[in-house]
Amino acid sequence: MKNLKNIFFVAAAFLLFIPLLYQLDFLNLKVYPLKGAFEKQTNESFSWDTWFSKDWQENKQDVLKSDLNFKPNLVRLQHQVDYSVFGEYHMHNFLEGKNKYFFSKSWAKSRCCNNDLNADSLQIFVKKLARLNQVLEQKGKYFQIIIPPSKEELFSNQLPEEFQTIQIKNDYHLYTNLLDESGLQYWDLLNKYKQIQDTATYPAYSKTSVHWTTYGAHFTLLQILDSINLFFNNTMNQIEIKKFDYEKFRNESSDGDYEQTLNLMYRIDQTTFAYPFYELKPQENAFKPKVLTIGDSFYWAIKGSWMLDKIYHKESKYLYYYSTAYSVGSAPSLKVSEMDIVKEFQTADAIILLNSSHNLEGFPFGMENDIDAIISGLETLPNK
Amino acid sequence: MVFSSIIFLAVFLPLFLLSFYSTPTTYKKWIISFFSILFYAWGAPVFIFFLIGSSILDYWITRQFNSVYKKWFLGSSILLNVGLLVYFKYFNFFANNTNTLFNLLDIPEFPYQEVILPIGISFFTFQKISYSVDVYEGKNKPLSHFSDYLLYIIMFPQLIAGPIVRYKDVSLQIQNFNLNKFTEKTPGLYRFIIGLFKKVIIANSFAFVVEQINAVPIESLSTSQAWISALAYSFQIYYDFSGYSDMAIGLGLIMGFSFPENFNFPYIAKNITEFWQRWHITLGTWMRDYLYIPLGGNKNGKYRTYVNLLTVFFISGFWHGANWNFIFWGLFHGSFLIIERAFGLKILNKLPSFVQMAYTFFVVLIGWVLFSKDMSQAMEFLPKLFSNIPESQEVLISFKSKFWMVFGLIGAFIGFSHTITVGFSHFYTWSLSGSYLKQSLIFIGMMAILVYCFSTLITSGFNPFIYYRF
Repeated sequence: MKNLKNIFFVAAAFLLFIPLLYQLDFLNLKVYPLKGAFEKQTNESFSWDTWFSKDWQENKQDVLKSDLNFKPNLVRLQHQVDYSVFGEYHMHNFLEGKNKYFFSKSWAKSRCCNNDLNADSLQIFVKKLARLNQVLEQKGKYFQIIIPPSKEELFSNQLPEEFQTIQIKNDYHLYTNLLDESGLQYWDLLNKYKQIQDTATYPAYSKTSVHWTTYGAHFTLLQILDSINLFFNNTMNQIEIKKFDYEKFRNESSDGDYEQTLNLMYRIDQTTFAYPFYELKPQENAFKPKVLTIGDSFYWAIKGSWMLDKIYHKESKYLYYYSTAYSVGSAPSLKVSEMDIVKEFQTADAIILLNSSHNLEGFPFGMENDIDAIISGLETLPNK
Repeated sequence: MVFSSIIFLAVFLPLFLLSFYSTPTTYKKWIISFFSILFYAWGAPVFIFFLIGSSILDYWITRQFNSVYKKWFLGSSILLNVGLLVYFKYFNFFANNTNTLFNLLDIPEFPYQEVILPIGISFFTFQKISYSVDVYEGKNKPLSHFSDYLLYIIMFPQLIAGPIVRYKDVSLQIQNFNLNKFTEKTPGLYRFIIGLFKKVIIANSFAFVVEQINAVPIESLSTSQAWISALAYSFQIYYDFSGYSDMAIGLGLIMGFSFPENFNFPYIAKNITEFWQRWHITLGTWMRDYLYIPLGGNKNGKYRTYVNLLTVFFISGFWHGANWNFIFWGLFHGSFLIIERAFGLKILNKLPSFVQMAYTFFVVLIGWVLFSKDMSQAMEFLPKLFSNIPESQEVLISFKSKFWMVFGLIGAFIGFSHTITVGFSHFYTWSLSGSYLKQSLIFIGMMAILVYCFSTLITSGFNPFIYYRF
C-alpha cells in the first residue's frame, strides 16, 4: 500500500517534469505547432541590472509561457475541453451555425446587417475600373473581375436564425449593381457553386472552414486558366487533372481552416475531401503571361495548387488585400506600398480582381488611391 | 513567483522535488532553504538581502534571551520587526496622509520618495515575532542553529502569503526533522492540486466576472450587477486565498511539515465571531495569542474587552493594507463582534440556522465591498446594492464561468458535517486506501486536474492573486 503511494508520487513528479524535459529536448517527441498568429517574445539577456530590476525574471516568465515547447499540447487540451464540455471557442470572429457549420461572424454580418462600403466612393472606383478595363483592352491585356460566393451566402440556410434574413441592401448588392450599371463584365460565381454544391460528391466548401476547399477552388482555377489561355489564343501551357486523392482534410490546406485555427485535439469534420493532382501539358514556346491578381484570402487555395509558376510568368504576383505581394514562385514577399505599382501594371499581361461576396469591408483596400496613376501609366503604352 | 505560475509548476517545483528527494535527509533542510532563497529572490531580488539580514539580527537578539536584559532584547526584537513593517508598509500611507493634512492647513507638502513593499513582509514579520515571544516565554526551545531559524522564516510554501505558522506549530517539526519519514507526500501532492484547482479554475472564474463588472463605471452599474460583483468577489477572495493556503499546506506535507489550517468553510459561520474562527485562522490565532491576550483579552471587564477587540480588528484591518478602506473594514468587523458579544448572539441564537448564516454572510459581503474598493468607490457602490437600478450596460458571463461559479458556490457550503481538517483527513484516507483500481482511478483524476489547471494557466493571461500584495 505504501509502495503504491510512492509510485503515485513518483509518477506525479515525472508528470511535472514533462514540460521541462520537452523544453530541454530530452524527449524526442514531435509537438505539432498551433495554427494561428502568435506574438513571439524576445529573450532578454541576463545582467545584474536586469536581475535586480526583475526585468529578466518577468521576461523569462513571459518567454516560458509563450514558447514552452509543450504548450501546443496543453492549448489543444484546454480548447478541446472548452469546446466539448462548455461549447466555447477560443477564436475571434467566429460564428457557429446550425449543424456545426462554422462561419465568419463579420462576413455573416456583412451579408445580413452591416453596410461597410461607402456607396459614393465605390461608385467612383467602379467607374475608374471601367476606364481601366477599356485601357487594358486597348493595350491587349486581359482583365477579369471575379466574385466567389462567401460561405455565408452559399450556406445561408445554415446560419443562425438571426443572421439568415438580409435586412439591408448589402455591400455585395451595391458592388454588383454598380458593376452592372458600368457595363463591366464580371464572374459572379454564386450560381456556379450552388450547382457544384448540389451535384458534386465532394465538398466545394467545408463545414468547418470559411473559404472554399482545395477542390472547390480548383473549379475557378481551371476557369481562370481556360479564360486567359483563350484570350492569348491557346498559346499557354495547360494542366490536366491526373487523379484525385481522397482523404480527411489536409492540415496544410485551407480546408477546415476555422476548425484548424480552433486548435482542438480531435477533428470535428470527418468528411472526406477531394484533392486534385495536376500534371502539366507543356507546349512548345509556350507563352507565360505575367498575371497580377488582386485578391482576398480566397485566392490562397488557387495559389496553393502549386502549378501557377509553370504556367504564369515568374514575375506574376498575388497582391493580397492590395497590401502584400506574393510571387508565384519562391521570391520573398513585398509590401505593395514599396513597389512601383504602375510599372507592375504596365508590364502585366493579365489583371484579375478577385474578392468574395461578403468580404468587401475595406474594399478596394487602397487600390483606389493608385488607380488614376495606374490608368495614366497604362495610357502611355502603345495600343495593340 | 506564485505557485499558480508556469515558472513555478514547470521549472521550480520539479527541480525542487528532484533535489529534495535525491538528497539524504540530513541535508534536506538545506535544500529547502536554498530553494526558498531562490524563490524569494526571484520576485524580490533586492529584498532577499533585507530578509536574510534582518533574520540574522533577529536571531542574534533572540540568542540573548538568557541574559538578565532579556526583556530589553524581546522589546528590541519586537521593535525591530514592527519598525521595519511600519516603515516598509505604512511609510507611504502616513506621508501621503500627512501631506493631505498639510494641504488642508495650507502648509507646504514635505517631499518623500515612495518606499517599495517587500513581498510577504506582513507574513514573515508575524512569524519572527512569534518566534521571539514563544522563546522568550519559554513555551518552546530556541533553535540552536541559525540555518533552522532561517528555515522557519523563509520556508517558501508559507513565505509570501501564509499560513502564518507560529513557532510553536513547527518548532518540534524543525528540531526533529531528521526523523521524518515523509509519509504524507502523496496526500500533500493531492492537497496542492486541490489548492491549485481552487485558485486557477474557481477563483479565477469569479475574478473574471468581478473584472468584467468592474469595467462598468460604478454610476452605470445596475442593482443586479452590483450584487453579482459583490458576491463574486466574496467567493473569489475565499477561493483565491484558501486555494493558496491549500497549496502551501500541501507543499509543507511534501517536504515533511504539517502547517496549520487557514480556512474552515467560513461562509457557513452563524455569526461574525464564528466567521473569524473559520476565516484566515492563522491570522486570528496569531492576533489572539500575541495581541488580544497580552492586551488583557476579556479578563478586565466588558468595556475593556470591547476596546481590546476593536484594537485587534483595527490592527488586523491595517495589517491587510496601508489604506483607509482596510482600517474601516477591520473596524466594521470589530464592531459586529462587539455587538454580538453585547447582545447580538443572544438574539441570533434564537433564530433558525439559515437566518444566522444569511446574516453572517451579508455582513461579510458588505465588509468585502469595503475591503475591495477605496472609500469613495465603496460609498458609491454600497447604495447600488439597496436600490432598484435596471441594467444599462450588458455584462456577458460565459457558460464556463457560470459552471465553475456554481461549482464554487456548492463547494463553499459543503462543510456542514466536518471541519476542514477532518474533511481532508477523510479524503486522504479514502483516496489512498481500498482497491488498487480505486486508488489508481483517483490518482488519474488528480493528475487530470493538475494538467487541466496547467493548460488553463498557459492559455490564459488572467491570473490575479489578491493576497500577494499583502
